[in-house]
Amino acid sequence: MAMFRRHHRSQLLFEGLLLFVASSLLVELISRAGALAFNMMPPSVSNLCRWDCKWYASITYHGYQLAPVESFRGYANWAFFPAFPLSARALAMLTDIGTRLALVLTSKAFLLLAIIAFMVLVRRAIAPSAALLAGAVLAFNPYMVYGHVGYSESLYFALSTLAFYFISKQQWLAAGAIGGALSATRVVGLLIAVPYLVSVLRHRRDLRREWPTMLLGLLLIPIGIVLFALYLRGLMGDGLAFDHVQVAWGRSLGNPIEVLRLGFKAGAWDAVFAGIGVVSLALSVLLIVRREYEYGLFLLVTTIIPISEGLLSLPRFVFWQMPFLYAIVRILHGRRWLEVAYFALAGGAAAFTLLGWFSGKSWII
Amino acid sequence: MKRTQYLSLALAVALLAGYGLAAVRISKPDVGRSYRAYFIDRTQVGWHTSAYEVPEDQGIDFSRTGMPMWIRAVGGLSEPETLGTWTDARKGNGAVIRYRAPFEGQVCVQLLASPSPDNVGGVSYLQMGTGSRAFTTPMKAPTWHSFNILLEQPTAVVRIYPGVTERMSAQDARMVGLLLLRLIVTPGVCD
Repeated sequence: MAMFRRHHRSQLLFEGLLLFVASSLLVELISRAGALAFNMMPPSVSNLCRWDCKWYASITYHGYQLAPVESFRGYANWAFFPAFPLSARALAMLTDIGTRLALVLTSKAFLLLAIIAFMVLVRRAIAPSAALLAGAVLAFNPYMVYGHVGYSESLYFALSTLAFYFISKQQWLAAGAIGGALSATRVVGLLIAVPYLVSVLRHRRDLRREWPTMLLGLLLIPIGIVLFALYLRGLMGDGLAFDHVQVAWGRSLGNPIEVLRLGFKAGAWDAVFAGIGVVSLALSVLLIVRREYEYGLFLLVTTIIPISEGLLSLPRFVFWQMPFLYAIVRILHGRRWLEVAYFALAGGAAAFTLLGWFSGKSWII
Repeated sequence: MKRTQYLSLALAVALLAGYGLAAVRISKPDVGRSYRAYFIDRTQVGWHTSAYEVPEDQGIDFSRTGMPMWIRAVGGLSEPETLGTWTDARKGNGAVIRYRAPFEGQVCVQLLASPSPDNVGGVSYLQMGTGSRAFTTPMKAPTWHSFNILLEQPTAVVRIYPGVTERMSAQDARMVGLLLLRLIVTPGVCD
């Protein structure tokens, strides 16, 4: 039995590694083909590490700013949470490589972890035969570019998958500890408390016996964001600067229904992004209807919040939300023809977004 | 309860106490007035702006970055664009323009503004001291509005309230009402 398990574990690791290599190769191929055929920027670390990656680079190299940039908008790197740039800094210090290369490699390393963790979770939650499909859905998702370019999405995905895994196994302390790291990665990481609480309610019979452990696990979740806030308070005086600095990007919460309505009305990319938002909401409802409340509710809240802030970054947030891809795997599993159709579409979309990234289009930032 | 459960409970209580202390510290930011006005209260337009020199009778050009030397502060506004600056309801109820020196007696207020789509044909308001004037914005194009106001008491503040506010677009969260292009306040009666 143990040998059987070991065999399956090594097969899963091998498949995960293979998918990771294939995903990295696709990025490399598309970027080189784009450079040859369309006179785009040649693939290099500086062309991979752009937009938010540069903000992460400023944190990794210089730390958090003491004051905003002296410009009209007053940009500052406080908006970016510390777990990802700290990981890249550790890699840069250990290997003595440049900051931006360290960020790119860190995001790729977490992509590998995310693929394997997602395969393990799906193997347990859906079926062993769905594991490879899950890995492929993640490795070749239409916005796969963010797993390769020094963004925190792959870390966020890996941590949220691990948190869900431990929640499903009722390993409350492990789930809470991972949740703590998740809340230090992105502000919505804090919302892992929602599926945690749902799962506690699902296992309420154990409450009488285990409530102190369950409570401790729950209280571990905010530790990342609280430590970050305390650090900012000590450094520059405002513990909530990560939220307050959003004014520089013109962001604030609005009515999500109004945002979607305006998106469809505006047409073009706005309508596409609004459509992705609606699909994500529909999948969250599907998961809730299937009584997979942990995944469904988490996806619902982590979709509504970014919609409320506007549509520009919505596809990135949605396609790197584990329950979103989990719902896709649920739909595809066991339907070969649908799998083929999905990967044809997703692969084409991934190639398109990669070309958009390397040609510097403003709809993919 | 097992020993590990007691330990978990003790750690949970310690964490709760820690979070309480952290909340107290975080809820009291130690920042300057300008930081508070721009980042926290969101009443200040722009973080780093420089004042420019221009005669008062030429008024405020809202397409320029920064404000004339004779303006103390502005609020409820977005940032300057090619034509002017939109009022932004997220930053306050109406636009507030605060002059350094107060006006008194008879003043002429001239405003060049353009409405957001929902304000076309609507009624907006300009207030100075106790004097309040309604004005209509019948078309999308920028239109001059002139107001003769007799101030009962000296005042240095002009407030402009759009009739309604609306979200700029799906990607732009600003709650706009009027696009302000120019504001001129001079003593005496309008020509």
